[in-house]
Amino acid sequence: MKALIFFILFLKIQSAVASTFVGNGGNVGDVELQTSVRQLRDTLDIIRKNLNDPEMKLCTCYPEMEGRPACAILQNLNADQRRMCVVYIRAQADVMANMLHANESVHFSWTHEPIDVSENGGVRGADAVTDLARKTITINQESFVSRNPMERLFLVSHEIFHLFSYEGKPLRDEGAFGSFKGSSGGRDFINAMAATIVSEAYTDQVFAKYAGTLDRSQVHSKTWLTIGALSQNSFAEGTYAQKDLKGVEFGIRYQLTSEWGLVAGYDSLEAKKTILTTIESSQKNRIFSAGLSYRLIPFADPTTFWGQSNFVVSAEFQTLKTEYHLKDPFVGMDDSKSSNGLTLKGKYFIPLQSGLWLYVGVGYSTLRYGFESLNLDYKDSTSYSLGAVYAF
Amino acid sequence: MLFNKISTALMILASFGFVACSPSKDNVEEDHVIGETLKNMSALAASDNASARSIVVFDETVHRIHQFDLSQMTFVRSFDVQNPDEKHFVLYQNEGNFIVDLTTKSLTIINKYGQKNESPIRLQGQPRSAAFREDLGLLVIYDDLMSVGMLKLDSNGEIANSWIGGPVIFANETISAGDILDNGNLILALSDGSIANVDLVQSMSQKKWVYSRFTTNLSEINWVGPVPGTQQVLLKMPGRLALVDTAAHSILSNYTMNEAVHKTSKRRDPHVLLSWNNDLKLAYVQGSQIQVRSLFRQNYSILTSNLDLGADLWTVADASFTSKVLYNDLNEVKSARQLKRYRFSDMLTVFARKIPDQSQVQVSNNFAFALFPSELGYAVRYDLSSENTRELKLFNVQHIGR
Repeated sequence: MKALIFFILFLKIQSAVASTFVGNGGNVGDVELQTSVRQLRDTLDIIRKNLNDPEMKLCTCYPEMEGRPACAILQNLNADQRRMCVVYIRAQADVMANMLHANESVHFSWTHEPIDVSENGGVRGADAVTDLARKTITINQESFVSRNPMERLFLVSHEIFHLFSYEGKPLRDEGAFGSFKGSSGGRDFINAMAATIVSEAYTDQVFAKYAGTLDRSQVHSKTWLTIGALSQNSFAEGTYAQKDLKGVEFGIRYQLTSEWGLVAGYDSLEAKKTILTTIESSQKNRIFSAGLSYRLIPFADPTTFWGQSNFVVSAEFQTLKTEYHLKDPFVGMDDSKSSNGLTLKGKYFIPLQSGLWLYVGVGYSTLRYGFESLNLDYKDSTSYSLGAVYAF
Repeated sequence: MLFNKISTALMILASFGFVACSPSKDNVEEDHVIGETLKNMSALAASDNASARSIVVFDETVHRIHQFDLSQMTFVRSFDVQNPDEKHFVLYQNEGNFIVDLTTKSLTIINKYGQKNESPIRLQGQPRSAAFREDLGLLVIYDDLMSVGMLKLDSNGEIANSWIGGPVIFANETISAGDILDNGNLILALSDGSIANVDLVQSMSQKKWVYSRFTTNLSEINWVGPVPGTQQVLLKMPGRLALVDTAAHSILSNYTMNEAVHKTSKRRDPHVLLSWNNDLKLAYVQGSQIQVRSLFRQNYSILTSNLDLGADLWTVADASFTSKVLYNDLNEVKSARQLKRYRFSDMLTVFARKIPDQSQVQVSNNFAFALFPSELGYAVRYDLSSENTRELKLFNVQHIGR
């Protein structure tokens, strides 16, 4: 009963805290996007901090970047273009960094549809598009997630630069900008700056800093397979009562939405004890359950450990099959019963890596059953679990 | 030192009968008691009544008294006891359905309604022997301080009357041995060899010994065995058996015992088993004479003996030769036991069966009832006239689960 009250209170508290804004980790790509934005922000912080450092060579391919696409872009710059790139980044680094530190300045949204943009009288496909007026960047989710971290940083950097201007003219892909001539001069200019960001991030270990974040298991997985150790404490009295059953639980959860899911499970529990001096008593419980779950992601930042952790509460219908065995050196008896009931469970999931999670849980069950031959009645029970999950 | 060791070894061997020499010392455990020692009562506590429906037994495993319906082989009822760690000796009255529970520390009467009367009389010593005539509702308890407690029980197990008397019956003569006759009188052999015929009912009413006495030329009477259906008693004394008519005050028959007493028994007809080298002799009373039958002795130790001349049956429980000196307790050893029944007239063996090891056994005319040391409850009834058995299981389950 205490566990039940705890969960009701918890639900009320957390409903005021949980965030539903895109990027809270509940969607595929949220972590990758947040990470790319922070990588950009951290790189800009490094750049603006080291503006007077003669070792920092912007818009130049460092030797360790040889062979990478960003390096090829920078190697193709002529002297004027390189100079223009350096000047612009040095001038805008502080403004861009401040903008990114103010979280609400830029909005991101996902699309699953192909993005087409008009350019030079035609239409071309794109992985992202920026709405300057609304300061909104729309990204194709599948395309973004499929890219590697460098490509994602390049893409986000490119789109962020669209929010800025050169000599009063908004930076666009089409048209000439300064030393970047031709109909796609804007794109070349922005790409050069984006490549610079990627190169600086790589050199300054920014990618390494966020490697753990990207490896961490993410809450947006649809299917969750659980296995854990289970302990059940029953409310029963009498010599034959087996109050503490222990065993294993198996479960599967499928998330229909970020919040709601379907759950099913199988618990196998057992207890043994000796009564008087020679009587061996054992009980086995097999419980099948199915029901609905509701997930809470209490912490907003999906790039952190806590931000991926989540609570899941579920209400499940249970059906029980139980067997009781009594035996001494001369005689024995067996009895079995079935029962149905409801259970409320709460679990807290902690992310590891590569889809693996750990969880702890509590539960309260209304399953009631008895063995008349033993004057034994079981009433409600509480349970505690600890286990591992694979989510995909 | 060496001599002492050898002497000790020879004495031990002599007690086993390995050494052929003069008769070993009589079995004195059953001597100088009224009725039978509590151990003997337990061993043969099942009713001799051929129509007995129930059996009552103290379950040593769970320390409870159980009552079973022998014919249906069902569990009837169960009671917890005072002093559960003590050995309990349980007597049962069939018609009245009441139970007498004796230990060396306590006496409890459980009536037909299951109500207990604990310590209805208080003896200062520890009960050592008892005589119980369920058909007459008479119970006499003799303690180790020679006090005699007597009770008259009605058909429901309620105490109608009671009294405790000391061992001095006449002048300075004290009680030596005794038992209850079929007429309800208590026959006591006194220390001077005289016989006192005590009216138990009057003694309880008047709170004093009410008796008649006659003298004999007997001395050192140490055992009294009433002959059923008569007023005769078989008396044992060192080296001699005598059959006495308590009504006529005469000695009817004598037998000089040159053999060692192996066993005495008052069930159902009094008899004495004598041993000499490899011979076993059975001395019993028939036709108002002491009869003696010689038998080839099997290399067994007899635990209990029940002679029923009216049914022409002799039932014996024995054990493979052991190192223990055995008295009249069928359950003193719980392994390598055999139950045998003979047609007494020609000694044809009509039943022979191994008694299950570890079991606590009671034997009646028709059945042997074996209670196993099962905490959950397991008993088997063996039909002595056939090979049939019936089991009863799990009768302790409800008593444990409290």
